[in-house]
Amino acid sequence: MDGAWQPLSSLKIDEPATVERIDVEGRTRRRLVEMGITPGTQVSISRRAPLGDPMEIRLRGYVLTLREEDAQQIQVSKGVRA
Amino acid sequence: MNITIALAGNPNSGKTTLFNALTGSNQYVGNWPGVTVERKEARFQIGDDQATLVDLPGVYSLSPYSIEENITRHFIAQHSPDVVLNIVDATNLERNLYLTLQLMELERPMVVALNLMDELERHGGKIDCAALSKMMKTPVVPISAKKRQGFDQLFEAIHQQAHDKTLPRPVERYDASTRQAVAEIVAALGGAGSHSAFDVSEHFQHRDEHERDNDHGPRAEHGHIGGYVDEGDVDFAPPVDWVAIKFLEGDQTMYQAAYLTGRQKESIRQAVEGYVERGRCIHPGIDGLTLVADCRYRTIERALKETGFLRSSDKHEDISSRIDKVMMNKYLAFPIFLAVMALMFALTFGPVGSFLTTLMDALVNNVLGAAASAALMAGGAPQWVYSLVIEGIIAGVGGVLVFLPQILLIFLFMSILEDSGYMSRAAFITDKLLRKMGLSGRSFIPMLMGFGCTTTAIIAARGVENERDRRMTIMLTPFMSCGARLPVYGLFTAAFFSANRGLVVFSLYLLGMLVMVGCGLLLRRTVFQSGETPFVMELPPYRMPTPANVLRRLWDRAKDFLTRAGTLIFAMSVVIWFLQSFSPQLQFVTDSSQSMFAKIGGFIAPIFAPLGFGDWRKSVALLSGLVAKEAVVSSLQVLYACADTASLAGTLPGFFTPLSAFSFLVFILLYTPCVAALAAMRREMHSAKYTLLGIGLQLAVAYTIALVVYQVGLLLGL
Repeated sequence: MDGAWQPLSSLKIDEPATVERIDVEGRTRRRLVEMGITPGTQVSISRRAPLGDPMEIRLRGYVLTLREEDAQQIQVSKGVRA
Repeated sequence: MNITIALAGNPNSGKTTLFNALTGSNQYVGNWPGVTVERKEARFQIGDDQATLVDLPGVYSLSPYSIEENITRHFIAQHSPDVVLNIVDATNLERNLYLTLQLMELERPMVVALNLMDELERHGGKIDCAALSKMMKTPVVPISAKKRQGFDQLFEAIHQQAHDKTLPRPVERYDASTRQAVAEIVAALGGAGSHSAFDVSEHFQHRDEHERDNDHGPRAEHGHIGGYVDEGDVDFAPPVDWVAIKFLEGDQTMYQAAYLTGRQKESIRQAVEGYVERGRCIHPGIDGLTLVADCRYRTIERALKETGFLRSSDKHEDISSRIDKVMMNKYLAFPIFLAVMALMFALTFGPVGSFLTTLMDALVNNVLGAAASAALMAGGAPQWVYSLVIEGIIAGVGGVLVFLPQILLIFLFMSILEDSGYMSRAAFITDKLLRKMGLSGRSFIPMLMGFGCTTTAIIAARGVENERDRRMTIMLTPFMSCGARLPVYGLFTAAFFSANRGLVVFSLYLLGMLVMVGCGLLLRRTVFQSGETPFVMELPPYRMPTPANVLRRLWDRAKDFLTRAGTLIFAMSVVIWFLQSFSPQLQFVTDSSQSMFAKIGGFIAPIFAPLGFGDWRKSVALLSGLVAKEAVVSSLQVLYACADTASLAGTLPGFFTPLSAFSFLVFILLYTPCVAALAAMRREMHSAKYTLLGIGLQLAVAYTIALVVYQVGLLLGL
């Protein structure tokens, strides 16, 4: 699976993907990484808020909220990497 | 032997439930020094040991960027508790163990309590605790905090660890590249067991130098996290492996706080560079911080795989996501949210709440007041003593006690919403509405509560975990028009705007909200520029709230409120009574127009002339509004010598024009809330500075906007 990278925010609902790179900086970066968004992690968007933003993402068996602006800066590739 | 146990764990891991279950009613609740984070402590017996259990804040990691995380990190690093008891949610193991590894890096004897094992097993998951224990070299005990199961084994493990003191060495389990880098840095620092990099005297000398040179040094950086760190750095002697990991993570504060020679710095730089380079072979563009996090997560994944961990079969998640299909539905989410809020409002401020409030009022005035009055009469107390007790203390403290039922009701609902998992969802759906002000959805519910009662809303802001956000929420909430302001609106609309009462009242509510947004934008650019937290929040699965937890919290809240009513509010009531009952010559007066209050009113009246209400009686009414906003009505009634509000409504047009009446209402809407709210502000913000700032903001905003309303109105010929 070496398809092109795309922002996490561009995934469709429930479309599985693998985290490749996190371009967010500062505290948000630290927080994202600590919550388990590290390269190779499987993620999917499970829902968007009624106003379109933020979104709910599923990873490591739990659910996390993420704002669009941050999700745009997380690069993922579609599918699950072995 | 006395042993200290530090209880650490993720939010939503059942930490509070475990703390309550272990300690019963024997709790001491306070604050961590200098911050508003709650500190709970309790003593209990384990065998023949006297144990002190310290509840650390719920955190996801130990990074130095939040107060809660700093408290946890420093408590364990410096107070060296005999045992760190780490509660872990078995249904969310991977992420929970991330904190476990970080705690282990601090190298204190540990016990891991695996909570919700029953839930995991019920949903088809499994963990081999014995294997995991062996692998982590730390006892792992399955428990159910809710059902109080597994406590005997837990006590046994704690007892044993407190005496054996087996120190964990998690780095041994990290990948080769990380181990190599740690070893290199440890060698540069002087080998294992060396604490020289943090020799206290040298460390302080170095830091002072640094502060002189550079205001943006470690201390300046720590300024926003509330002062805990400053006093915490004394005797800080962390394990050397841990220091090495901090360097790999690129922790600048640690790096600058360490005393390092030029050669050491060079070796460390090389070790870190080598580490990042090796990492980049696999993940291009990765940095040290992410590499270390990645290493911990991989260690966890490996350990879980080797011990045959089976995640629950996604069935439980399915229940939550099925509920969310309705609760978070694009079209239903807001109607459901509003319905929940409406129900909460209706019960708190509607029939149930007002019944309890009336009951409390009757209890205070008719029972307590009558008894005190009878006793004072019988004892032949002088009139001023009588007045102090009845009109000062019972009226003042009693007036605030009347809030207690409402506060408890709101807290009952908030606890249920929080424990069930709905609170996070409400924050999720409302987040977008508050983002422009630099706040998150967490602040929405407290602000909404502000329409009911400012005091209650300010206390409800406890649900906002981040201190900056909480302070900002507390400063903005008073602009939401509370219920106590309604009687004033009612009086004035009846007197001046009977044709379009609804429109006038609506315009006031709207104005309050607009001002709130405006002030939010202003505060974000000024006072609260830094410290914005990312909205990266866990959405926990829906769970049934446990009555014991809910009741426990209500009890803590009631105790806290009553203590406050007995101290700060008591003092404020006495001061206000004194101003109302004594003349400037310190003569006791029964006619309030002779009191210091009236004199102050007369003195400040000219200030309000440009706003259209320069009459001293109106100023006195505004001053009495500090006691309670609805008191404006009763004092106007006394001051204009009217028998009831109907005749007052008939009298007022002689003293106000519709324009000055509206300007007066605008001022009432926006100026400083009542003493109960001020006391709550002071208590919940834990800062005199921010409280004064809030009061200043409210006064300035109220004055400016009422001024603009009146002057523009005059120009328009109203």
